[in-house]
Amino acid sequence: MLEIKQVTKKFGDFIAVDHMSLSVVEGEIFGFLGANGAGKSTTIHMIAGLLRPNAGEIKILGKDITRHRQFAKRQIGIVPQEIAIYENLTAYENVEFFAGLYGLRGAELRQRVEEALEFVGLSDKRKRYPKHFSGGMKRRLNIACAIAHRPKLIIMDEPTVGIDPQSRNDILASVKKLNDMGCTIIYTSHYMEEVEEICTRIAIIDHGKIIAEGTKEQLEAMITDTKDIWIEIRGMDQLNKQHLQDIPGVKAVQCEENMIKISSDINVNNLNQIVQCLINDGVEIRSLEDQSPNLETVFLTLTGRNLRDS
Amino acid sequence: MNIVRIAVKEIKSDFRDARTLFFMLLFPIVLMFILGTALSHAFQWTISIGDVRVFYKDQTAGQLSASIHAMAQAAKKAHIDFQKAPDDMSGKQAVQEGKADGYVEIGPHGVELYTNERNQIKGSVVEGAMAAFVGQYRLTMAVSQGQPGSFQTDRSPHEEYIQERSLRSKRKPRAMDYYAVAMTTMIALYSALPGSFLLRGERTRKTADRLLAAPVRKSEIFIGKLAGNIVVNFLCVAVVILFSKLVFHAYWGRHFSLVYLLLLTEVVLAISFGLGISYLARTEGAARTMAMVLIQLASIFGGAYFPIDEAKWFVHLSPLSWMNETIFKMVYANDVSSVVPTMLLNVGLAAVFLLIAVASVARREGL
Repeated sequence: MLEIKQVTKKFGDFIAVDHMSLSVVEGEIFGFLGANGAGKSTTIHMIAGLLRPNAGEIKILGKDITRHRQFAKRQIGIVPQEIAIYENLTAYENVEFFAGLYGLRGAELRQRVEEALEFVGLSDKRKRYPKHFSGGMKRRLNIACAIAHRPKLIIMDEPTVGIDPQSRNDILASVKKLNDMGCTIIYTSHYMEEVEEICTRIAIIDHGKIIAEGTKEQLEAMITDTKDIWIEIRGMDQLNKQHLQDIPGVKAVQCEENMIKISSDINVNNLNQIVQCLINDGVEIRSLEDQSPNLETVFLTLTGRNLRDS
Repeated sequence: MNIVRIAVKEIKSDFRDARTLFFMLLFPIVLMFILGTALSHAFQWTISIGDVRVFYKDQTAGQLSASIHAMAQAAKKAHIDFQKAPDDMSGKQAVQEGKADGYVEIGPHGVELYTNERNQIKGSVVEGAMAAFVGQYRLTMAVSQGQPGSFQTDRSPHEEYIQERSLRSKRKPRAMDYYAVAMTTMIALYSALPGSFLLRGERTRKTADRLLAAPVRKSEIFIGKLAGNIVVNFLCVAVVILFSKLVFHAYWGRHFSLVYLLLLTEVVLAISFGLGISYLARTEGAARTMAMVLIQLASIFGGAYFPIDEAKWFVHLSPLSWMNETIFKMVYANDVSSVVPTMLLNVGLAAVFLLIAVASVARREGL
């Protein structure tokens, strides 16, 4: 669907994107994870044709976007980070206007506009003006304007910034639904949880470069193949350490006062066996924590700082 | 098709903006009403001076009696009452006491006229009448000095002594007529303000990226927005003219379509100016301030608030100066000779500002 090869973008002396290469397969939700200023927005602006790369090439469906600009633009729908709608046009008119720019006309245009508003749950608000909408509703209208022309590739640039959790969940559900309908989605965010939840593959960007790319599990495995399980128990004297060490995947067992720390292979799902073993030994489990490495840990390890601190 | 779509969007959006309607429609109409009624006294073109009484003494021994009589008859039409000075009254004394506006001694030495400085207008009228009489009979006239001279009579006594010649149209604008034109041209110039926000507004609203991400050329966006804005502002100007004509009964002359065409070119100039300024200024605030200051100066020097009689050089730099002059000539002197040059000037300047904007947009990666 999308191929980026050695793309570079400079603003004066500042290199915003530095020889970046990646590919996005049709049908996946590809996540760009990075701090503010990492180069996410610059990259997606180049994909959308808003910025010209200083070097490299970008292809959509095999066609170079600099030579086939209009073709490339027809394949893409963009949900900008800021809400990009007209306050003096109704919700219907907003979607109709933008969809019309993609060549839709007449009955087909009207049908697609209705579908888009239906999809984001704003059908009953079609004649209202965005100035009377809540933040979440405006975000949904923002999405409707991007999807009415049924693009093959949807670029969503931090679509959940500044909205309530319920609206955020609605938007994430919409993203998954769009993907189920066959859209390829590029999703940028600095919210780890969102990217973990919906993205099939993730690229971590820092200082204009991709420093890691893969599925969530692949990324986590990059930094460690071990997870730690902390279990608080009562009845340490009844515990048989050997029973725990015999469980497949368990690498080490450490006991201290009423806490057990079990280091296990990250790829082996043995939590049930561990709990069952403790129950069989007559030990009372008071609390359990699985400290598997997550994207936050990956980011911290690879960049040297927390995503939220950046 | 995208150009039309964008233009229609622009028109819809602008007409739903209460600020646009208030500023472009209500503001000029209210100003027109206030200035047109409050300053009506400043546009009095005629002065009522009442009847003029002139005593005369004929010292020509009857040689000019018929002519003097004819002159007196003719002068009556102009409300100048020539009467023989009573024997018991000194004509000069009568003038000094205000009982007469002038005293004329017509004698072999010429004509001597005595007037009262306290009523110079009436004195000027009498002087004018006597000058016509003297001119007819080639008499030497001395006004209040009494210079000796000779005279001859070779004219028919029935000729008009007082003839009105005017190179200017009889109709002059009332205050309401003046401010109808002045406020309309001023509000057309104010189109520069929305012009300055035309493309910058898309960047501020963050819709520029969405527009550019669509399969639409920058030129289509530019032309569509420009066309839409011109339509909106021109329609507002047209409504203001119609309102002034129908409600305030302002006089717009017989060349209505030319007036509209002229104002259309002014709207184009104003919007282009605003657009050009928006790319010359660094920030939106700076662009608006610059546009506002220049519009106000152009309004003042262009006669928007008060007629400007002095032809200082900088007055002619204001578009309102050449617009108002052209419209007034067209409306009140039926003179359309400067319409085409004014339109060409407006369009030419608009082209310069548009070039600035086009060059800036072409250089940028966005709008």
